[in-house]
Amino acid sequence: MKGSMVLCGVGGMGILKASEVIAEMLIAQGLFVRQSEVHGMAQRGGTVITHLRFGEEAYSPLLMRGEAEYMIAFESMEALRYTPYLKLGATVVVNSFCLHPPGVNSHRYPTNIPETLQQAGFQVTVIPATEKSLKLGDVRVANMVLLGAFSRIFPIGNKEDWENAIHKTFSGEVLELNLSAFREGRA
Amino acid sequence: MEMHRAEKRIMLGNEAFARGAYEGGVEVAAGYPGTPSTEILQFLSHYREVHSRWSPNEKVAFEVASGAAIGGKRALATMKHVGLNVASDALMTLVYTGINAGFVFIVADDPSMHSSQNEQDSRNYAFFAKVPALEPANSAEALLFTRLAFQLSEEFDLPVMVRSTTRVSHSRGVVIPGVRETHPVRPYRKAAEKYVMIPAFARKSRVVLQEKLKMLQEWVEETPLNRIEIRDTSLGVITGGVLYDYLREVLPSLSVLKLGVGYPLPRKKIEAFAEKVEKLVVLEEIDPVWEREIKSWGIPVRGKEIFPEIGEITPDTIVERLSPEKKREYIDLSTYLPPRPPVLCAGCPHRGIFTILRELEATVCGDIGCYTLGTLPPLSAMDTCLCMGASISLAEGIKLAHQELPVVAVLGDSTFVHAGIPPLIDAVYNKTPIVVLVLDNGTTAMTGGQDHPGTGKTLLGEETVRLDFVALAQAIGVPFVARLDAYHLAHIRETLQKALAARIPAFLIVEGLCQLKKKERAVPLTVEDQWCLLCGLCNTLGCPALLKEEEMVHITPERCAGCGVCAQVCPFCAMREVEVR
Repeated sequence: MKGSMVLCGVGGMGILKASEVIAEMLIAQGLFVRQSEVHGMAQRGGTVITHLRFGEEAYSPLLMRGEAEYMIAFESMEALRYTPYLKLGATVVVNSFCLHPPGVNSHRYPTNIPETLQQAGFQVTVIPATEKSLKLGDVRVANMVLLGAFSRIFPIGNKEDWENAIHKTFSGEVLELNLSAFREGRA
Repeated sequence: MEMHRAEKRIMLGNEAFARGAYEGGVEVAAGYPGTPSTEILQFLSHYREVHSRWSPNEKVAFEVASGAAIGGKRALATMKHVGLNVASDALMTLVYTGINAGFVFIVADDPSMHSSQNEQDSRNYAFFAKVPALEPANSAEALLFTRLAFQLSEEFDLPVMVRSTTRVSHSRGVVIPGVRETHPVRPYRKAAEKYVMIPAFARKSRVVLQEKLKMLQEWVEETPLNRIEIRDTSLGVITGGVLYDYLREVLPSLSVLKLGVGYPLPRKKIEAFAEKVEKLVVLEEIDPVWEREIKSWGIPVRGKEIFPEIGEITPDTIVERLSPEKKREYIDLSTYLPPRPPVLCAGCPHRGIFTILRELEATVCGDIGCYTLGTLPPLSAMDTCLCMGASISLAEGIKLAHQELPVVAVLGDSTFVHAGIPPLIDAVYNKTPIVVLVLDNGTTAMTGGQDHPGTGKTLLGEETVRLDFVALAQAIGVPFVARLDAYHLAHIRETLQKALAARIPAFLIVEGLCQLKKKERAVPLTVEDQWCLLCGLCNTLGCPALLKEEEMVHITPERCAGCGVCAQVCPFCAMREVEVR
């Protein structure tokens, strides 16, 4: 069993935490994981991408273009930006949330993003993750809502495996909130 | 944090470096934050058996750690590639004196400059200083190699470099943590011939160093860190670091000589490998360091004629250059997207000051830190940014060339402590009439918010003496010193004008806590449409909370930090606090 995925969005959206949970879940299944992430300058509201590879063997933390079978996009437009990493026909889970880049006239922001992705042949699931997280009282858990939705599509790991991984990644007060966000997304 | 069970864990490269140092029995660790190296020391500070500390700069960190090793405790220094420039003065001679207990320094390079001002290749320092250098490929090796580096250091009585890159430091991989070695503190003996590098002793030490290198040469031929893997012999690749992992992934059938030691090179092993394969290439990032050395032995090898010499090499590059038929098909929907570069945060205390400097048409010598995010339009905040602390000295030079220009140096609090004090002394000593602005946001912001001498807290969270910038400037003898509030634009403007008009060295400390450090959020603002005449002035602030639509300016309430800078800039008083119901 092997595969790869990308997680993308905007700095500060909890992309690293979400990829940590995925990695923990996969490790618990006895798989190897390699993952690369962006720190430093890119966290100041810039575009962010994480690559993740898993399997009985996993060497390169970076993917090749045309390789990833899955994408989780935390912001709509960023899904388009990283399509070159996707395999033809890959599965895309995209947050319906749109965040306009500062200083850019709003009419430059693309419209009909899910349709564009579908027309290009990707399997698209749109999740109102940010809306749902606001209902839960904290926009920061939109990442777990998305992960919950992704966990239904992704062939590895059952509900318990995912929740165990969340337990490993969070502790204290935020743990419960993250678990409910995950369940909300998975429902 | 003790872990006794051999348990598989996933670790960030930098966490694995810290773990390796911990297991290797490190007792003292020092560094200065710098992407991609910062987290090493932060992770290490969680191990309370280790004395970890931030130093004002890499030279101090390197010397404190060297001293601890000379004193008899295993010690570590961490830094990014450009930090090694600062520490290099100590390094170049420490290889002469040698150490006592193990001394290791980890230096993290940044090919493609994800978060750096250049992409220098630290392996050059290994060759230059004659210091053994290890090249881990991933988290597991980061742990193992760092641990081993301490033994190696003691075995050869030399400092040892462990070289990382962004993709090693900031990627996760599986590791199996072990237990910590403990070593009694070695006795310290006064040994002037060994540790005092006056010419007479240094000449002897130079010869000793040569003997150590000869022994090291035998070791590199034997060590399993340099590993030959024979598969398809039509092409053999000599590589190291994360590039090995890329190659193993995308072209697993090739024969490889994996160099775990980047300096010195195992000449015999390389010759033996060259014999076994039909064609030989060197796959290395940035400079052709190994290629040059191998070519100098007369071995036919290709490297930079195939692979790029600029920027990082990715799995895509490797496939493209060695086996283009393996390229995959993909669809690119990114072509017409607007870019999303990093920007100063909403509420950032630097925004107001840059607006005023632009208005005064000052020549602004910037420095290394978050404020470089104000370089691009609309803030267009800077004329120069070279290296840590250079804002003040470059400003002095520009003033010497053009007396008529209003020249201002702008640097952060952490950068000022790092390398800004000697040039400030210079400006006073030589009476250069420049204005130095220290933007004091109470942290080392760009690297994620680390403490420094100006914050009054140590890496371990202890309270300590807080460096008083005003008292320091007064002690240096700066004739014009003022303390300002970063969010009070009128006062800043007035003081700045006075300082420029005075034609004497001036030191203004502009205080405003980093937005990411603020515990409470102020009330967000809103634009009252009936007052807004769409003049666009607020949009020249480059604030991510301000959005210009076709017929209106809009403030995103979730992003607005309520700093009030836009309200101070708006000539029509259209910004108001959102009414709290």
